[in-house]
Amino acid sequence: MAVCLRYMGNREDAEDILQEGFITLFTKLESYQGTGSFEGWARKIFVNTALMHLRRTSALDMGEDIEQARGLFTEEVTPVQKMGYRDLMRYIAALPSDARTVFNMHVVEGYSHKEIAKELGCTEATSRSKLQRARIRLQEMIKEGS
Amino acid sequence: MKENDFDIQVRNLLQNATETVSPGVWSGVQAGLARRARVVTIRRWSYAAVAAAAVLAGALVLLRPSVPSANPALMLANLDFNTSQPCTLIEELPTTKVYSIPTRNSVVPVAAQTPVEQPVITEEKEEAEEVAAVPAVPAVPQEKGQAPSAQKNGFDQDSRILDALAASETASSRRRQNAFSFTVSGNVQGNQRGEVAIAPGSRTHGLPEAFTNKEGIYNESPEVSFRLPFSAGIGINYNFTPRWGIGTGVRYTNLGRTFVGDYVSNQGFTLENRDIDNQQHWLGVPLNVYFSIVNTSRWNVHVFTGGSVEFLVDNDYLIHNSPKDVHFHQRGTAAPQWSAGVGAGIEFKINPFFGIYLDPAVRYYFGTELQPRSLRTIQPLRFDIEAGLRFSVGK
Repeated sequence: MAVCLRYMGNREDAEDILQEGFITLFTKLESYQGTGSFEGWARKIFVNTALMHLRRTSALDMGEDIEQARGLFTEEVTPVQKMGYRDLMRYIAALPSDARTVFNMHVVEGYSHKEIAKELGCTEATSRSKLQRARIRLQEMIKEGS
Repeated sequence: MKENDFDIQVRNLLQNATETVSPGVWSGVQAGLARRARVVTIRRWSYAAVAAAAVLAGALVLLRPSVPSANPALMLANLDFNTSQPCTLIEELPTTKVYSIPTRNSVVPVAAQTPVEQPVITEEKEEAEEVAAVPAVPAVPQEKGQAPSAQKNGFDQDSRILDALAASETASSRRRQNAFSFTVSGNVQGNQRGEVAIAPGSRTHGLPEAFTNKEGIYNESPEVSFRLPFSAGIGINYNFTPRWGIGTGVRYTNLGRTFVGDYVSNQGFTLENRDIDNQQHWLGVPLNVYFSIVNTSRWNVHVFTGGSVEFLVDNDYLIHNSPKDVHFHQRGTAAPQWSAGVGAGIEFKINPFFGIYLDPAVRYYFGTELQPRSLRTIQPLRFDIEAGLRFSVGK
């Protein structure tokens, strides 16, 4: 549920994705080959389900303005560990859908920019730009919140 | 704060997160699974309806994809989750946290862990699924000075509950689906009740009328009684994909009939209007292709089609002159008998290596005018039921 909530930004959509994800997981259980952990395989299913939903609803606008996102990261940011989980989730949910998706995929799930670009149909540069934009916006929200 | 530190701190805060779900989620999952199973079943039953829908209707009504106790997915799907209570942390180890997922009757412990390797998920072509193929995610390269990534840190790999269940289910399903199997079976076909009226003057044993002065059986009466045809055989099947398989073997078939006719012996005497028994012994090689519609740990429902070539190895006539005077006459072999059939069957698996099956089919026999008279020659399109035992072995 936490994975779905990070991608969808609101509880209602996250629960829909959770339901779809579980149905897909149980239906495709026979395709699990035993390589890697089962939880990792299951997490992939939920991430994929969330991405499919975002594509379907055209929530991912991967058109880009790379210039604005470059070089704006500052070092004067309140450390994240002083925040609670709920606050961080609230800030992530407030991100634009495209930036939130790239942030989740890279920072939490560990996708490379090349893989994100392939998955979302954009360039690596766009992926990096979206990630940077997400980081900047998160830091701004953390700073305002603190 | 550098970018990497920020990412690491965010990841550390998020990776262990848990959330509660509203009560309707789990019932929605169960309803969705039931709905999807019905759609798939209806689509595939329409394919099988051409073959033997009437025969299988009763058997298929009894068939429900059972929920094998060893299937972890269906175990979870059938748990009645107590969604009024959130998942709670029940044990925290240095690298693993164990949460309880409450159900109405018990608590299911689940060990949370972070994967080290991200497996590749491939799509099945038969189902129009929208889940895209997920590329394999290699381990995040660890840059110098960077804190270990979430994939390398994280939870203990000892996910005994989920991994062990999934691995055992994968291995056993692989064993069921990709295997040789040997069969021992028997067949019966439909018979004609009582005596059957045959057109007068029709051939008795496939020879032209010009041979009337030779030894043989002649002037067969219009009324013929046929015995129930039966077959027995052994076979070997091979499943080259989880759904497709091929089978062949050797099959013996006995056809018999009783009629009244004339017998001309090789000594030149004639016995007229005598009771004559005919026994035909056939040996054939079938070849069938099987498609598995439903394959669970207990049941397999499949459709099949194929053909067979049979050779008449023995064609015997017993002419009853009197209770103590019986004459024996043997005819030569006839041309090979070709046939083709289509059917649908079910198998009940007593265990992964042994099952019993029932394969009803419709079969058509070609070129029966060249064969000795039998049920096949008067009714080339026949209904056939094969029942047998199947012994499966791994690759």
